[in-house]
Parts: sequence; C-alpha cells; structure tokens
Amino acid sequence: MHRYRTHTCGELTKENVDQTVKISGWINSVRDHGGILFIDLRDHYGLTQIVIDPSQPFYKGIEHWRVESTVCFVGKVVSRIAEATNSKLATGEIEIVAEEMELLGEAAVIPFQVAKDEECNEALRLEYRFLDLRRQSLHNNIILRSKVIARMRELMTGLGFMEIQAPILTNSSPEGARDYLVPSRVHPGKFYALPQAPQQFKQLLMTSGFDRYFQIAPCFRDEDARADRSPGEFYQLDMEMAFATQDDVFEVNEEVLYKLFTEFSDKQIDKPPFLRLPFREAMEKYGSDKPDLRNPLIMQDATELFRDCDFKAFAGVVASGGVVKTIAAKGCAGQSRKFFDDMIKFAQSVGAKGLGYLRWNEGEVQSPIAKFLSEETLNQLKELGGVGDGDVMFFIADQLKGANEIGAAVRDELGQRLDLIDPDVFKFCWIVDFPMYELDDDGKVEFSHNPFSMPQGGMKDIEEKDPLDILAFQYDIVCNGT
Amino acid sequence: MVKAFDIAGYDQSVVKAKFPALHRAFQYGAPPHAGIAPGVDRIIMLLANEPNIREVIAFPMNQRAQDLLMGAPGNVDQNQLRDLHLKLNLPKKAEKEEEA
Repeated sequence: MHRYRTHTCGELTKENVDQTVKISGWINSVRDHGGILFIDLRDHYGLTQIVIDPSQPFYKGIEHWRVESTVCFVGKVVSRIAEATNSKLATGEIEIVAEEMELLGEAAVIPFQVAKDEECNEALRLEYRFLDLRRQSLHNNIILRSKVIARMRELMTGLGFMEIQAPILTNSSPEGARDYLVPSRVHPGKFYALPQAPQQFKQLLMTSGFDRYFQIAPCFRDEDARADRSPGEFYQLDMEMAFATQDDVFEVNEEVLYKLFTEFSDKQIDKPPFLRLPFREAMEKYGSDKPDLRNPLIMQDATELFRDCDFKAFAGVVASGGVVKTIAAKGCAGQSRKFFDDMIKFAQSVGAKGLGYLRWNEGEVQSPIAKFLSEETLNQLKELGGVGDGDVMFFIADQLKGANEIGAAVRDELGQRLDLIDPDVFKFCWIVDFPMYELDDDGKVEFSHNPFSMPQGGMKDIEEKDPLDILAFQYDIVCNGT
Repeated sequence: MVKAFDIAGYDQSVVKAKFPALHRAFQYGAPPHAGIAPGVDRIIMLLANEPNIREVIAFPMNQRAQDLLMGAPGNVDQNQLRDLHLKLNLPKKAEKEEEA
C-alpha cells in the first residue's frame, strides 16, 4: 500500500464499497453524532466522509485535533444509508469506517475559517495566503487560471506560434511607466531593469526570422494599483507575427479568445469577427477607449445648443473652449429625488463641478436648469437625445478631456444604477485607428501609445500629414469595459 | 522609425541612444510585423467573474505593492549593499522605520 494514499478524497464511489483504502487530507470539519465522530476529509480533489467509532483505540486522541491538520486514515468503504447520502458530493454515497489513523501535520489555531468562504480581512488573508488558497472559491480560481493558461498555450501552438522566452534582466526603457531596477554587482553603478513588456524583444525576434512568436510574458511596472491591474507584476499573452497585417492579428485573437471564453464560461459571447470601433468614435460615444458595450447608453455632443444660452455655467464653459456632453437615459424620469441627488454627488466625486439634467416627467420638464433654456433649445435637445415623456438627459460641461472622463464614469454609474448591464454576456470589441501622436499637458507632440507602431499611411503620412492627424496601426481589444 | 521619433522631438542620436537594438536591427531587413498582448490576469478575472484581480493570482501583492506573506519588499544586509556598490539615502520617515 502507498505510504499516504490509495485514493484521493474526490474519487471513491459505490464501486469501491467493501474495499480497504488509505486516504490523506485536511480535516475540513468534525461532527459528533451521539459519540460517533464524522470527519470531512478534504484534499485538492474533493471531500470524503470518515466515520470513527468510539471503540477505536485512537478515538480518544481525536478531540485534541484541530481542523486543517493533515491526517491519514486506513479504513473500509461502506455505503451510506439512503437518508445520509449527499447528492451534491461526488463521494456522497459512501463513507470510510476508520480502522487506523496517523496525524501527519498538526495545525495551529487558524486565523480565519477555511471550510467556509466567509468574508474576512484581506490583509490577514494575504498574510496566511496558504490557508486562504485552501478555501474553495480561491482554490478554484487558481485551478481555472492554470487551465486557461494551458489552453492558451495549446491554441497558440496549434496556430503555429512558438513560445520563446525574452530576458527578465534587461535594460531600462525610457518610455511608459517606471521601471523596477536591479543593481549590477559586476558593473558598479549600472542597473538592469525588469521588462515592462517584451515589446522590443518581440520585434527583434521578428527581425531574427521567427515567423510567429508568443509568450505568457511576465511584465513589471512600478506603478500604483488599479482594480484590473496588479501592482508590480502581471502577465500578458504577448504575440507578434511577421509579414502580417492588423487583420491577421485580429483573426488569431478572435479565434483564441472566442474558444477560451466559450470553453471556460457559460456567458453569452458574440461570434467573431468582433466589432471594430475607431478610437475617435469610442471617445465621442463612450468617453473612453475601454467602453463597456453591455451598457446601451451613449454620450452625445450638445455644445452648440448651450453656446448662447442663459445658463451661464454651461455657456461659460463653451465660451472658454469647453464642451457639453449629454447622456440620454430612457424611462428613468420616475426615479426618486435621491437618485438624482446621488448622481450629482457621484459626478462631483469623479471631478465634475456639477451634473445638469432635464427630466421630462408627467408632461412637464422638471429641472433646475430648464428655466434658463428656451422652448426651442429644449425641443432641439429633446430631438438630439431622441427622448420624450418619461426620459431624462444628463449634461456634463467641461474641457474635452475632463468631459470625456466624467462622462465615461457617469455612463458606467447610470448603467449600474439603472440595471442596464447584463452580467451574463461578454461584449468584445477592437478599438482601432489610435492616433500616432497626441499633445501632452504642455502642448508638446508626444507618442500617444506605442512609439514602435506603424503609421497607417507609412512614410507618406509622416512626411506630409499634421502629426495629430496620423493614425497608427495601433489597436486594443476590450471586453466588458476592461 | 527615426522620422516618427523626430516628430515627437527625439532626433536620431536620441533614438540610437535609447533604442540601440531596434535602431540597429531595423537597418538589416526588418520584416513588416504586427502583434498584440492581451492581459492574462484580466482574461481570467472575466472568466472567473471576479472584480478583484487579487482573487485570480495565487500570491498577489497588496495595493501598496507589498507581499504580506513573504515580507517583500524587505531590508537587505549591509554586505549585500556593499557588493552592489549602493549606499542608502532614505527619506527621514523611512529612516525611522528602518531603525525600529
């Protein structure tokens, strides 16, 4: 018999009844039923119920065991009586009557419950990550991660891509975020840097004659945390193709992503080709180059309608070169006063001076700003938003960049509060036609994204066009706003 | 590439100094190429239906870029610093923490 086990905790069924087995795992829970002890023994694969009769010589010691200790049992597999079967468990029809036991590793008092996924302080979870990782939901996430990455490799290799490792100790790169630096011992005063991405190496691999490269690439950036990006390090499915166009890249990614998302999720997903959205249109309609397309709300430009109006706050912004963006939300005029107050507070929390709104409710316009607007302007606004009685239009006035940022946040917030976002779908899109250059805060022309991308019109564009009008073969994939 | 950098205010010598490898490689018959790098952690967040990225990473750092399990970033020996030819020049507050 194996030193630790003949079976895992997830595989014994009625087929094994009457066999003598050895099984090892963590004590998930202990229950005392009139002197008979029932232990749920857990490992990576599942849970198995162990029964310990008071007549066993090791019975007495058991009361000192703590949950999460590791234990090994030898015993006989028996069928559970009908009332005691657990259909939710793969091993729910059997239990093991213990004949021998061995304590393998005793657990100290645990700082939080492992058997139940109850809320607990995240710092404590990170400090005891090895216990946290035993908990089912996190354990399953890491299993999913492993399976997804294995499948990524399989799909990429199947499409003729070769995985090649780029260096981790490399040179500091002046563009992008802050580098993590590693001092050199052999070369005093010199430093390596950890790569922010293998961007230059993948281009060098192309010039080295490799046709299709990929890597599950670790990337290091010394920047502040964001909800969808881990501080310090994260991974990219990095890839590069020689003698290839943007469309070739799209085709590969659509195939890989569509397969991954249909194989690993039950949510609904659009069949490829995914929607292609020019950067400028994305900024106009969503105020963001990462729009959540599950949200049906769009932003529209109402600048001209406020240029000469009596509402000085907006007219003043327009006169100073700013814009007025509007979001029409159908059917929400009946929302409470609190809803509108909360939306204003939200807009202020993301940097807005205010949030104007027009609310067409029960045949009249209810709004603090309506009295400043002419009947004609109100009608033009109504037409622009395609709204009628029962609908609301929200307004943000600011300089373009601020209006876009605030508008994007207000759009997301309205989508959440009005329950417009279907949690059971994936909405993919390509953002295409990024500008090659933009003006930085000092009005200087700067690369807007990746300096190594190709202008769409090639050299001709670079020589003849206004830099700010040059579009790059630069694109990004977005799903559900991330 | 040199022309493209020129528009952003980098002249050729800067391009050569900052990106010597690509500057050199692109002079020896570079094939047109295209690529992308979707975020793996983000893909797994979507598939796991997790709004928090730390829930799909086995050993994540906290939001202050600290690994609370391993204690990273941590202090190192004077010997290690000497080997690396480094002297610390800490802000006042960090010095106090160091002593504590």
